[in-house]
Parts: sequence; structure tokens; C-alpha cells
Amino acid sequence: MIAPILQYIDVVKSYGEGELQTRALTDVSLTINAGEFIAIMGPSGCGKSTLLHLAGGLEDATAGRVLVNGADISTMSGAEKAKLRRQEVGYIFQKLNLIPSLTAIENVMLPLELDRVSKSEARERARVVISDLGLTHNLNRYPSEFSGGQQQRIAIARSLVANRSLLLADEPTGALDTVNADEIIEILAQLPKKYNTSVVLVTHEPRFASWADRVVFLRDGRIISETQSSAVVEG
Amino acid sequence: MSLASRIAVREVRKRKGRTALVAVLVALPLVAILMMSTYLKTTNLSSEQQFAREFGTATASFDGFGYLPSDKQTMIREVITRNLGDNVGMETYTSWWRPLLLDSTSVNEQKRGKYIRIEERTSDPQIRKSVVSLIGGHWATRSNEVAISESLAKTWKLKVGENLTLEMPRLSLKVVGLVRTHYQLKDNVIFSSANSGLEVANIRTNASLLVQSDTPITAQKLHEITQVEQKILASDGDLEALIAGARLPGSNLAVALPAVSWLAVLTVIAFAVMSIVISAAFATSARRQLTTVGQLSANGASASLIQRALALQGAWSGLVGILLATVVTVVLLTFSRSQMESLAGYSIPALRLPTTEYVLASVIAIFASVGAAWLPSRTAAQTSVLNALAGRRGEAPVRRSLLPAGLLLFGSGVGLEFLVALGVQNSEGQSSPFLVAGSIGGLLILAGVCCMGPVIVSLFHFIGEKSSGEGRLMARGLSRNRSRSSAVVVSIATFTGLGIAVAMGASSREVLYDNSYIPRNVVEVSSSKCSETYGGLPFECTPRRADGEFEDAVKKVLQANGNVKQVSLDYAVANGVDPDFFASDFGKVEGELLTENILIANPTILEILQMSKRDLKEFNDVGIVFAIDPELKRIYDPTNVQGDFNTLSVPLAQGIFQYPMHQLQDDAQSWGRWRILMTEKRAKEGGFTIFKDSARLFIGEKNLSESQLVQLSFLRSIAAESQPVVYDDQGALPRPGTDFAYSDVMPPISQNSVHAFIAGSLLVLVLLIVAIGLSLMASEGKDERDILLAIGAAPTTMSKLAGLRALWLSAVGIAIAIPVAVIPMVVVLKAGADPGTDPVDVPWSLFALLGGVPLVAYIAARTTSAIVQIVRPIHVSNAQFE
Repeated sequence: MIAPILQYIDVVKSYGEGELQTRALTDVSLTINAGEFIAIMGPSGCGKSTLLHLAGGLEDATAGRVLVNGADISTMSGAEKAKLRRQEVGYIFQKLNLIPSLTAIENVMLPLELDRVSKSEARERARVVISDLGLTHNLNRYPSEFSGGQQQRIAIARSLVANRSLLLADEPTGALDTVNADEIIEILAQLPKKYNTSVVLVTHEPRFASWADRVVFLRDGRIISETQSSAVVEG
Repeated sequence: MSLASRIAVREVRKRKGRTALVAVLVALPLVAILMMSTYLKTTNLSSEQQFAREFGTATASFDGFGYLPSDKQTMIREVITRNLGDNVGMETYTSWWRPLLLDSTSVNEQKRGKYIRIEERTSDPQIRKSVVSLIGGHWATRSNEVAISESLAKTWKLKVGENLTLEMPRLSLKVVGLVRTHYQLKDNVIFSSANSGLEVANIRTNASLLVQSDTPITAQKLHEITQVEQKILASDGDLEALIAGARLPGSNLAVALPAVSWLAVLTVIAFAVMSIVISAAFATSARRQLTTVGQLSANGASASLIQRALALQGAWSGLVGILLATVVTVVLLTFSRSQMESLAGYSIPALRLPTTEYVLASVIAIFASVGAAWLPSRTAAQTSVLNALAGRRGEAPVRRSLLPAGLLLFGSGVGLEFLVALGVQNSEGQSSPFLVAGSIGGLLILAGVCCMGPVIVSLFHFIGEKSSGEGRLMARGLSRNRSRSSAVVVSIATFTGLGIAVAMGASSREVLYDNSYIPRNVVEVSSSKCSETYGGLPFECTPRRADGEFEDAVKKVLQANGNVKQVSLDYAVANGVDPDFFASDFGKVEGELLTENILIANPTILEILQMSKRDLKEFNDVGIVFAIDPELKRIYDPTNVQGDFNTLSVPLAQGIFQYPMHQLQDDAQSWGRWRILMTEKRAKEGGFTIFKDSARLFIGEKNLSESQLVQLSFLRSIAAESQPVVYDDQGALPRPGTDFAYSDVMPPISQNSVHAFIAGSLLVLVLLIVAIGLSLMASEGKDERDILLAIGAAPTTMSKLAGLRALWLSAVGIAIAIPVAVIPMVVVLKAGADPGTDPVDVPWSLFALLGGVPLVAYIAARTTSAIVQIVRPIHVSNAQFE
């Protein structure tokens, strides 16, 4: 039996209080297994990003439990959540993924350095991962000197460098052209097989969702359906 | 309202945090300057006002010494009436100063002994009604009653109806009235009737006759009256009641307004420094306004319009600051009148508001604020449309011209300060041009540092390469946000540099040389017996012990500080000294040192003197030493520096006899009173007469307190009373008899205390600047913080990052400050020093203390960040994810 890497159990997430309270997620239960590639789709404001934020402890659930590798995030301290993001859960966002004052390789090295890995080892491991993703030259340049696609590859490399088991990608292709977007999705799709990393991809694009093993549809904070990706393409 | 102005107003209203910060930064110096201006204007009295403050409604004051006998008062009044008519008011008052010691344990030892002004007064003054007024009880009408000033009542914790019991002199008086001394609120005054027991025969008294006349008194008329008065007083040879002079309102020169020009300079400098910090706020904000800039550009706004819109935010924020300063100043002025009176020391009838200074300082504040906004606006306005729309800021490399320009400005400033120092040394009192030139020099130095700041901050880039993790993030972040980082660094460097400069100025060896005329824990009690031949100078005096009661009294005074050591002193006097030599020049003739009383050395004296080993060896070899160390010689008697202190010349009747003498080469606890010290052996060899046990030395465990000084002064005045007072046309002659030698000069504040105070003040300022800098970074660095949060940076990482930023910003600022302050100060001090002297005293202890400031900043920033994260856990900002 494959162990679940991420589990949402009856999760509720609300913002605000009293009459102004807004439900972002309502009774969401979802299990993602190790090495699985899941796509989450739905209209704007349906709670897709919130679902990802809860998985890395960026936000806390109002009710229910979120388990990463069996550990309940709601019981974790701030430092433990940070450690979780450093070692288990990686994020890729649509934009502003890289720290502009650090070079490409320094951005990738950063999680390792924060984990007190030696500088030389961090540099070597970063170089290997970046190379795997097809970037080999000019790694000492700053993010602004790279194209959007290259910047996302660097961000993916940073997520992979610490051997994280879960990668959460929040519309990573939103700011990219078609060619670059396809390349990024292809890279993400290869990660489960290549690194045994589970990937959760939030996207509006059925075309990208078709790369996933499963597609979860959200509406108004609830999971309304869960299908195999082929169904999305056919649909 | 123009488009640029309208946008500026909207941004000022929208960015409340920044507006508040800029307003506070503008308001702080403005409030300080307005308060200072108000105080200076209010207390900068005209000569008429000063006269009225002291003499009330008098139109002339005749000041004299000694008592004015009633018969002579009548005669003088007649003279005045004859000259000024019948309608003349006259009032006489007599006062004198004397030490008094309270017999009370409810007041601490420091406050028991005070120098008190005694004024004879038994009724309300007519002419001085506004100067001295009774606010409780009544005036003393009996000899055992007194009224006291508010200040004395507070110091000695006395109320009306209580007894004022004195230990010295042994006297008990009843306090019957409380008096406000409007002319000098802090005056310790006792108002007594005649024969209160507070009189001292040989203490000089001041008698004043105040005249109030409707007829204007001219200086000529005053002179005529004075001449007649002097004749009256001198008619029976009563020299004790000499008229010292007469004063009219306006006869004193009015205090000019140099303080105001200082204030103008201070205003410019304060706002120049403050504008650096304000500039950092606008630099941060310009980055956050890039989207607005992009929208404007995309819609066809010119770069100049955008720049105007950004720079005008400085004007509007400055206006808010001025408004804030005005409100705060009005509130402070409303409640600070008593503090101002306390500071001024006298009652202030009405505050004089500094309207001109207010307008001037406000204009400078607006200029500073606009300038601070204009600098970062240039870069923002030139950002390309797409970059601006995307919120990307172009980071141009550091301009090559900045370093040479900075060095040139710095060098010019130092050069100007050098010229100013030379000019001041050779000038004759004209300070204003030098003040302005010196300030321009200071501003040039500041401008130089501002230019070099970004260059120095850009070096953080390389630190980033050598470090990892938080260290790299810190270094690269500071380097990337060059404008903001350099503003923080330059602000710290400026304040620290000012502190170092003050320390260097204050620690010049002349000011802090802690060596008094006599050690501060020592009292010498001596006496002398002199011939009565007043006609033929000099007195022929021989040293001898003082009366035992005085020695006992001194010992008792010193015992308050613990054990008292007592040493007997022997003096040597040359035989057959030619008195004519001393008649012509007692001290020095053509560079030769002549004899006077010579002290015979003993182990205690040598212990106190603390000669260096080499000086002690020389003294033992030679047998005679000129016991004043080089520094004391330079400070107390600079004219003697060139003298020959290697020879002791004794002018005997048969000719000058010379002895080889050693002069101290090193600093010691020297003693101006004993200029020459001799071994007993040498004295005998030289044929000197030795007077055994001629004086006593009492050595306390601690330095003399103010109270002990008062007691000694009192004993001295008692001793003086027993001596005849002799006057000639030069004044009072020196009196032979019992005397005490002790140092009544308060010791200078120690260098370490000065440095600790400066370091403490700088620590507060540095922490404040770093706090502002880190707040600006926090507001700008939300994106970076979100990314760090997402990749798993722990709360400790965040706080460590804040700590490292504080550490490096303050460390670099302080490191810049050291050369920036030391170089000009060395140049200025050397230029203004006497030839052959070394006035430069590098404040190493201050540097050591400043070394701890970055560490404190690190701990403070890290702790604050950790606490803030506990109170308000960091959440990912919506901008990142939504």
C-alpha cells in the first residue's frame, strides 16, 4: 500500500469574523500519495491557493486536519512548520519566486544553507539540480537577467534541492508564454518519476491538468469532483 | 492644484506610515529649535530689562562696598535730592556672602554646607518690589528671626515656623517668612534684621542705594553725584565705604544675539542630517510607488512630471511635519514655563515667541524635505515603463564619480576647517564669519560622506559572496537597496562622528588634566609670624604651627570621610636673603628661580607626589627638585615654560648663590604650593635654616566634598577675623597668620565618564536610526519575506536576519565615523594648538565603547524581531499569492 504524503481531513478554512466571515474551504477531504501528480482546477476564488497554503503551514485550518507524511500541521510550532517547508514541502508561485538580491545558484542553495549544509556541498547539490533542469550557464547572474521560464526552472530547482517529497505549484505558468509554460509543466510532470516527488499543481488550464494523474475540481470551497486526467482531456 | 501636486497629496494621504515618519523626522528638530529659540529670545534681555530684573523700578543704582553708615546715607540722600529734585524715591540694601553649615541630619552631607547671601531686610521693598517678594509669613523683625528664599527652603527642607539651627556658626534662628527671589530663583538667601549674628566683620559687604526719579538721570549727572559722594565718604578717611560705581538702565551693553546665529547654523545642520534619514524613507517609498510611476508613464506623463509628483510629496509631508511641530511646540510652551524659569534661574514675565525663527526654520524644513524626496525620485522617474509597471526597479551600478567626488568634498571640508581653526587662533573676537565658514566645512564633510556612503555600502556585495545563508541574504539585501542602506549608514556615521568630535574636543589634555594646585584630599594648616614693617617690603615671615584649635577643627572636618592621616612639615629658609631682590620681583628674575619657603621632603610627601622612578632617582641624586610636573607648569603658569628650572638661585646679600636642581620630567601629582622640595641632607649642606614642624598636613581618605569646602572656608574666615585687615590704595594687603591650603576647584569630569555619556547617547541614536532603517526594510521587503517563508525560513532565521542587518549597518556607520571625525579633529586641534604641544588625545576608550554598539544593536534587533513574531506571527502577504 502506498503511504499518503498529504492528507486533508474535513478541512474548513474561514476568513474574517461574524457577519463578515467568508468560507474559503468547506469540509475538504483529499489524499495525495507519494510520487503522485495531482492537478487542482476551479474558478478564481474557489480556494485552490488556500488549499496549498494549508499544506505548507503558511496558513492554519479553521477546522479539520492537514497531515504531511502523517504529521498534523495544526499541532506544529512556527519553527516546526518552517522546518517542514525546508525539508518536506516546496512551493512554486506564479511570480516573485526568487530573491532578487541573490544570484541564481545562491537562490537554489538557500534552503540548504538555512539548514546549515556546508557552502561547498550546497553549491554542488544546487549545480546538479539546476543542470538536471537544463540550466547550466551563467548561474552567477541575478534573477532579473533570466527569462520568466528560466526563473521558474530556478525556482523548481530550489524546491527540489533539499530532496523535498512534496512540491506545491500555484499557477507556475501564469506569467509565461506557451512554449515556456509547456516546458515547465513537462518538468513538473517528470518530477514524480525522477525524484519520487509528489506534485500538486493549481492551474486554470485543462491542457496542463492533463499531465496529472488525477484532477480535483473545486467550487466555492468544496471538492465537487475528482477524475483521472484523461477524462479532463476528453471532457 | 496641478496634476503633480494632486498626485503628491494623494500619495501623502495614502502612505500614512511614511508620512507619519517623515513628519516626525521634520518635527523633532523643528520643535527642538523652536523651543530653544523661544528660550533664548525670552531670556535674551535688553540692558534695561536686565536692570529692571535686578533693581526693579530704580532708575539708578549706586553700588558700594562695606556698610553705609546712617549719617553718610543721609548726606548722600541730600546730594541726590539736590541734584534730582524732591520727588525722588530712595532705597538702601546691604548684602554679603558667607558660608553656613546647617546642624541637621535630615539634609545630606553635600547640602549641609552652603554659601549663602545674607540681605538685611525687615520690610517690603518699594523699588525692588518686583525683584524680591514675600510669599509666606512675614519679614524678620527681631534679631533671632529670618525670612529665607524658596531655593534655600527647598535645599535645607525648611518651612515657615521652623527653626534654622546652624552648626557653623553655632546659631539658632526662627524662619518667619518665605521669599521669592524673582531676579535669581536659585539664590540661597537669608533675609535678616540687623544683629542677627550672621554678620562677619572681615567679609566684604555690598551696599546699594537705589534711586527712582521722574527726572531722567544722565551719565553726566550720575558722574557728578558720584564725585560728590566719594568726597563725602572719603572726608574722614573711611575707605571701607568706597563707592564702587553707579549704574543706569541701559548702561550695560545689551546681550547681542550670537545664540540666534548659532541656532540658524544648528537648524541647517540638523535638517541636513535629518534629510538623510528622510531620504531613506522616500527611497523606500519610491520603490513601492513604481506601479503608479509605470501607469503615469504609460499614459504619457513626462519624467519631469513624475519626478515633481514624487518630490512634492516631500513638500506636503514636510508641511505635515511643520504642523505637527507647531502643535507640539504650542503644547510644550504652555506647560514648560516653570521649566524655562528654572533653567533661566529667574521669573519670566512673558514668553517671547520666535516668529522669524519659526518662518526660517520651517522654510529650511521644507527645503530639506523636498530635497530628501527629490534625490530618490530621479531614479524612480527614469525607470522604464515596463519595469515600473512590473514593480521592478532598475539598480544602476555605483557611479564612478561618487568616490572621487566624495573624497574631494571631504578634503575641502577638512581644509576649510583647518583654515577656520587657524583664523580663530589669530582672530580678535570676531566669531561670526568663522562660525559660518566652520559650518560650511562641516556640511562639505557631510556631503563627502554622503557621496562615499553608496560606494562603501556596495562593498556588501562582496561580503555576500564570502558568506552564506542569513549572512548572504543580509549582505546582498543591504547592497541591493543601496540608497536606503547608505542613508542609514551615513546617518549613523554622522551622529557618531559628531560624538567622537565632541569627545576629542572635550578630552584635550588641558581640559581634563586632573591635577589641582593641591591634592583634593589634602588640607595644609600653617601659620606664619611676620614682622610689622609694612613700610619696607617684604614682610619677614617665618613659618610656624597654627593654633591647635584650628588643626583640630580641620581634622574633624576631614574625619567625615574616614580616617585622617596627619603629617608634620619642615621648612627650609635660606639665611641672609637680600630683601631687595624680592621687593623687585618675588617670583623670577631673568629666567632664574629664586628661593621662597622650601619644603623638606619626607616619605609621606614623596608618596603623595607620586614621582616617576626616574624623577625620584634624580631627586635623590640632586637633592632639590622643582616639584611641579610639566603639565601643571604648562597649565597654571605658561609663562614659566621657558624658565630655567634646573637651577635654584638664592639671592644672598653677598651675591646670587646657585644650586643645581632637578625638574620633573614626567607627570606627577604635583603641588603648586610647594614649588621646591629638598632633602634634609641637602638643606643642611646648603646652610639653610630648617624650621621643624612648621605646618601640618591632613590627608583624608576621599576628596573634599562641597560641604567640607564650606566648613573649611568658614574656618578660614574665622581665622581671618582674628587678623588685622590692612588697606592701602591697592586694596587689602596680604595678611600674615593662620591659613589653610586646599583645592576648592571641583575635579573635571573624568574622560571615561564623558566617553560613557557620549557612547550611551550614541547607542540610543544608533538604535533609533537602525530601527527606522529596519522598519523601512520590513515595509519594502515583504516579497522577500514571503519567499523566505515559503522556502522554510524559521522565525529564528528572520530574527537573525534583522539582527545581522542592525549589526552591520551600525558597525559600518561607526567604522566610517572614526576616520571622518578623527581626521578633521586632528587637523583642527593641531592647527589651533600652541607650538610644541600635542593637543590630540585619541578617545580610545570611546572607540572601545562604540565597539559594543553594533553588538547591542544586533541583540536589540534580534530580540525585538523575535518578540514581534511571537506577538504577531508572520503571515504570507496577500500580494504574493492572490
